[in-house]
Amino acid sequence: MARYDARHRAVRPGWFGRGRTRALLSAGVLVGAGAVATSAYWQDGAQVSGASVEAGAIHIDLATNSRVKPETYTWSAMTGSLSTAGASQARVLRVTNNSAGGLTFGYTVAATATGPLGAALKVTVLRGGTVSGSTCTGGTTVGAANASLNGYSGSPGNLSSTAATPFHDLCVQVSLPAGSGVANGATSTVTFTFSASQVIS
Amino acid sequence: MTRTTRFLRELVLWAGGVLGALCLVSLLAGWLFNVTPLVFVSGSMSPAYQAGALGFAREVPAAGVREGDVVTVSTADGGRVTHRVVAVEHQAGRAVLTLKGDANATIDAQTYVVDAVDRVAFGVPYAGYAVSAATSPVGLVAGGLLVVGSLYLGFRPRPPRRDHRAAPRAARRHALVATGVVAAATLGGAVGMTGQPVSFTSALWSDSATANATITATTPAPAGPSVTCSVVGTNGDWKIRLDWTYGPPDPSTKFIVRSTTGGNAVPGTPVDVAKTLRTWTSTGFTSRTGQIWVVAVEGATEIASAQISYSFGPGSGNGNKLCPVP
Repeated sequence: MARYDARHRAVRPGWFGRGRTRALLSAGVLVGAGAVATSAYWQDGAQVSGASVEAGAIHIDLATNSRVKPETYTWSAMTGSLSTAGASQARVLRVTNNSAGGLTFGYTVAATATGPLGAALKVTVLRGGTVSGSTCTGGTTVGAANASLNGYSGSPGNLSSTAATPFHDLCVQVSLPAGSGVANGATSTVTFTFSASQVIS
Repeated sequence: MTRTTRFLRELVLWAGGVLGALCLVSLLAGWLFNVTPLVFVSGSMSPAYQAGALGFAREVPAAGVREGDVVTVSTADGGRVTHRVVAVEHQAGRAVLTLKGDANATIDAQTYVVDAVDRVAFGVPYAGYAVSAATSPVGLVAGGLLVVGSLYLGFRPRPPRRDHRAAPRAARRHALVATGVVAAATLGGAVGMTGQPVSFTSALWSDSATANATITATTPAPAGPSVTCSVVGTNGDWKIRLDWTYGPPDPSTKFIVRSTTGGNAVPGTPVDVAKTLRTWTSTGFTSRTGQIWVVAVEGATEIASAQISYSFGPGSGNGNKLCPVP
């Protein structure tokens, strides 16, 4: 007679012995995997499975600011006077993606300018342009060239926080055309608003 | 069987069994209750739903959406965005939603018109990372291997028993298991075709910055005449001659030639010059030293040129008659 061994239990008829229940349940993973794999190819244009999680916090910063929220930058260099006989001034503003973590955003620039002087001012924005005297040269035009400053908008493109150069240098040229009929001493408050939206790449 | 082998066998079987049960339960719950699991790919719904959280959303008709609900909408490019409703406008059978991420300072630029949305009921932090890994191609392959491993360990041939019915029963068992595997995968495929079992949603971050400047228009002071001076005449009769440029147009009124007042004045000055003229010559003189200049008169305003120095000494020669004085 064989010695009693705890490992040899009574032979059970049927399917469910040790381990078989779990093995059968594991087939559920196949059902799930099959569902996910099939849906990834079935969907058209939607985000496919396995998109990587991007944690982080977004920061679009102007000039030398770093992760300021809310951010209102006094652009002293652009404050100045223009001759009613027709003149322009050009300044460069750096826009940086200072987001925490790896994060890419696309952004737009919109401008408003108050008063009759604001209505007369024109603007040209060159991404990557440089100042040459009182005008901007080089680079790529953002939005319409020599557009009305009040109501201007343009999209300079995307910035990735992990790129070697996570910034754009925007050369902004504001001009008062000759014969605008603006009174001596008129002032205009000019506001540039930069709006960034995350882009999942 | 050694203890390590036993341990590993138990580990694989438990992993397969639990994960498989979870998959079946969630797929079943999703199918029965119309619940969609969502992986939060980015973090602008922090702190309620961080990046990497797993949310559970249920479809609600447009009429049931309230301000404060967290809903998932489809964007124009086919992605999904999950943000909180800050304003809702109900129209017949539809709703216009204005959304904002909890961690964003600004509301989303895009509004959404929907007739039904998935509303997030609750979320489990970090579980999204696991689902994201499991549904990646590597994860799916690993899952497949786990199933194969579990089935093998659960159903592998045992040492022969004294039961003479073992052989045919074993063959039947293996055939059934193989059929079951194919059936499970096919069932999964069918489920997948009816919709996404797991969705990936972006809670997209946004940020804004403003730059302010004040621009002033100034009318520059008009420039006065530009004058040159020369000494002309003959011995004993030496004079100052002025030539200048101005305009166009001519000054509205006239020009005036002015010089130092008193005994050193150039004789005849101050003197009016017609507005169309651009030259003037003095009478002859000696022994005076001073400044002379031309003024353009515009209405009531006088616009002066720069002043020019002259120095005329005594005598009839022109050696000591200078204008300008170098």
